[in-house]
Amino acid sequence: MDFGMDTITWYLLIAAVMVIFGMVRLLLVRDLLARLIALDVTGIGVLLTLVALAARSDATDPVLQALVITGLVIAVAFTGLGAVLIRRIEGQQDDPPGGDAP
Amino acid sequence: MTFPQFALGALTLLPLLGAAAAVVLPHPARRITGVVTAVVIALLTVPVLVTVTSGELPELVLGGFDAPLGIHLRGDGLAAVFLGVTSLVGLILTGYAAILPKSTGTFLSATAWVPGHPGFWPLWLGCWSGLNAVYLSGDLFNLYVALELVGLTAVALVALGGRKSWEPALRYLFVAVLGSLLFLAGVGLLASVTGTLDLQQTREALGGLEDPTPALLALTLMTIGLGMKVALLPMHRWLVPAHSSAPSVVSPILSGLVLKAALVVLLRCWLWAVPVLAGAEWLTWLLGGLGTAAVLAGSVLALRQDRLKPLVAYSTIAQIGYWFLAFPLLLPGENDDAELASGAYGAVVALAAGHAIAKAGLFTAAGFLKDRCGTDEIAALRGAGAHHPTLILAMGLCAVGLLGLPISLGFTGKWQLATAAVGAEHWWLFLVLAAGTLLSAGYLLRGIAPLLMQAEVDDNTPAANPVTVRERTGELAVLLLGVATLATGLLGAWVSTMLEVGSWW
Amino acid sequence: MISLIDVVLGLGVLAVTGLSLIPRSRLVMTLGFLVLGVLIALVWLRLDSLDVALAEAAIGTGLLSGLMVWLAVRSPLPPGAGAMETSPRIPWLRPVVGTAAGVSLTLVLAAVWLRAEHRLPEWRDAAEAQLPDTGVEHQITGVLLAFRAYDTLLESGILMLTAAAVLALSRDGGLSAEGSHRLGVHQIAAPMPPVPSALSWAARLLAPALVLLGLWLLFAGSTDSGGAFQSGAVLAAALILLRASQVDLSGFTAYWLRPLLVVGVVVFICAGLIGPVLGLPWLSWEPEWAFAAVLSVEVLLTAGITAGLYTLFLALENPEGVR
Repeated sequence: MDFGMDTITWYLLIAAVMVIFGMVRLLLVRDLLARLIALDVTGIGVLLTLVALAARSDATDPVLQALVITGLVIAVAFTGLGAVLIRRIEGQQDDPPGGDAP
Repeated sequence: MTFPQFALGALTLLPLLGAAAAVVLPHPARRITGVVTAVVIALLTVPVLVTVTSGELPELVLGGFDAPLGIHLRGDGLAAVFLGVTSLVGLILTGYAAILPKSTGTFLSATAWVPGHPGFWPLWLGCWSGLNAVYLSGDLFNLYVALELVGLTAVALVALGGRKSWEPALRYLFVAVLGSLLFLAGVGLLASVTGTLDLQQTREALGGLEDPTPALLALTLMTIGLGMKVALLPMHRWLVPAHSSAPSVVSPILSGLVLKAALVVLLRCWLWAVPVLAGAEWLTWLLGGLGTAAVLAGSVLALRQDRLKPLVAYSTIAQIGYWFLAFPLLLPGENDDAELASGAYGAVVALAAGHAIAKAGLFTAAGFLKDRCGTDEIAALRGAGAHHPTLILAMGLCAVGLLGLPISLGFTGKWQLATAAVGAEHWWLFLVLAAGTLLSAGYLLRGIAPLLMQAEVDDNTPAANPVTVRERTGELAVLLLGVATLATGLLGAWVSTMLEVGSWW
Repeated sequence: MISLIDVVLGLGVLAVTGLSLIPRSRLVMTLGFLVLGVLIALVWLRLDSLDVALAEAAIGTGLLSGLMVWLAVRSPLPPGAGAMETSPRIPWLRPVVGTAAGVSLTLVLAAVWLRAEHRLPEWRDAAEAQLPDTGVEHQITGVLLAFRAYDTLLESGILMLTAAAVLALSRDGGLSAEGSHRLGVHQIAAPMPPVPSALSWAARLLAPALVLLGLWLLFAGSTDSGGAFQSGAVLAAALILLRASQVDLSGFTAYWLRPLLVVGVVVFICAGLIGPVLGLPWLSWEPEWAFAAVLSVEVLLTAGITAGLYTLFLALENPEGVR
């Protein structure tokens, strides 16, 4: 079926939407977990761009795919640190005020 | 393989090995590992500097796989200058952290918050590894990975400061990751039109391209992303809480070194990866305008602070502005005045390098006073200088560097910038430089002068406690940074010759 | 030309993206993100990227969403949950400005990007010609562990340091207590929330299957899709399942977690050092022993990744005194 657009372009467009709206949400929302998720959506958007670029050639390009795997692992690392920090910050809010906080 | 080539790889990989070793060791052994690794890195910097001074470009093809498939490490002039500065500052700060462990943060034991964070050592060595990787990398995707290594460790280092530092650390994390994602998006866009990731090949491929729009968009994305990481004015708000709530030895690392990593990547993008584009002028003028705003607003905000560490952090924001002032001069314009551009480039590097040393010293001193007196409120620190003459002397020397008075790299940088401004007839630059210098004199005076006031401190305040030998040694480390601020001012000509090696012109 | 599947899949991705960005409820957002992971893995498959799809399924969807859901379940309603920062007078202003800015930026980006004249990567021939020298047959593994091994090394360094960072945020800064070699992660002692016994038994049965899958992914990596990262993620998932089903892993954690964490990076760097010792550049593998080097690095890297991801999960629980 022809929708006047090829597959790569379609996914590049989706990637652009994900990047930009992830970013906008990240900048506008206050809830920490929502920000973390928005950051990850932005990250997936960027990686989707790279995979779409890899798929331009007949056999999907191995180098770009490898770069995407690298990018995924980095995203997990950051999300993990962010998640732990959010847990600590919110755990501290449950605490009664005062205490020997440095 | 020659020894300088070995050093290129080792400068990144050995600190990473040190970091890995530090993860498994107990606390005292971590300290020893840190100091030993720092000395080894500093020694490994020497062959690279010697090679670059002799006019050669050390280059290493990792694994023997040529670009575009593999990754090249290039120790060009820019890399060499920042390698040298990082080794100098890093070595002194490592010594400081080893002598005064309580400057590395606080951790939660079973019962209480304990000063002296063991987590500092692996994270700092990892951060150093990432910094060297950024300076040396000749590949766009590798730059992204290296930037992330620096960003992650920097966020984690901030979080070592105890409860109050967690929220600034998380905020820093969001900005840092978003910045690198925008950078990565720009890299992807460049790769899609050039088919390569290597910096030099990207430049060649873009030179042969008819339509400059994709490259311009990529450059814009990368500049926004890196602008977030450098904390250029409208994107600066994360910096002050992060830098001022970080442990006292971490703040100088962040302000002095970590910001420079993003600046180096920005220069790599503008000057190496992308050739002069038609239509990039508005972006340079935008950056110049933001730089001006940063110099003025940062200085005014610094003047209004009541606490020492936020004052120093706002001064960083003002100093960041100086680096961007040079951008309108950086690209050879219509008259193709390459000399002017190289002068402006030399000015940016000299200003940034000088700032790295002087700001590291000033932030360490501010952290020292905060650790010792339990507060960094300027009013409460009145007269604290009476017990710490060495520290005050060091702060004064660093202030000379930040003001850009002779002799310091800050002076060299301002001089070069002014010369380039004369050549290009950009007279407004003089106004900004003069206003920035006056304002910085104001806030530095506001920060340092109260320390010299006659003490009206009670005998039972922490500031009146006897100064230990360790603290005296720590003060000497700060003094070393102050002396280095002036001593490097004599090296302006050397820096200029080094920058010739592997430059873009 | 574009097929119907791609159109539907793309629209689905967009819808779920909205679901993971817009709602105010944390649970809805995290579940939206989980589904997004699944759909994106399908997109990778449509784009012929099996390796990336596996990595996404294992790391992205499996672990990442797991972390998020855990976070959302533990604290479903923080103060001001999910609310846009509303200005008091005009509450609709921010969302509208955000959407407008987003749409216009997307249009600019798309206009430039879609018009750009693409050039295919220039490394293809070189990659195919040099693959035999690396001792592996699968191209992606060749890229990750030979051609661009430096990237992979720095990236495993990032994961190791992330684990070090979250340990630093735990009890005793991730150190052993005085005079002991046991790592005192506060979580070891803290009991997991009780689970129904049926679930616990299911988890115990599932875990060995996951371990087998992880090992298969690891050793398949040299000839076919799979590799250290996918395998490490699956193995870490098995560990998390075992812990969730109340299997006692405290001895393992106390003695083995930190050595496992660093072993991948240490061996990788040491293997990279063989090159300089023989007068070659860093990270060179000679064809004679390339396979042995790549395989041992990959196995130990898997161990490191497993330990790193498991540490992230362990540190999620707050130590006493913070909570």
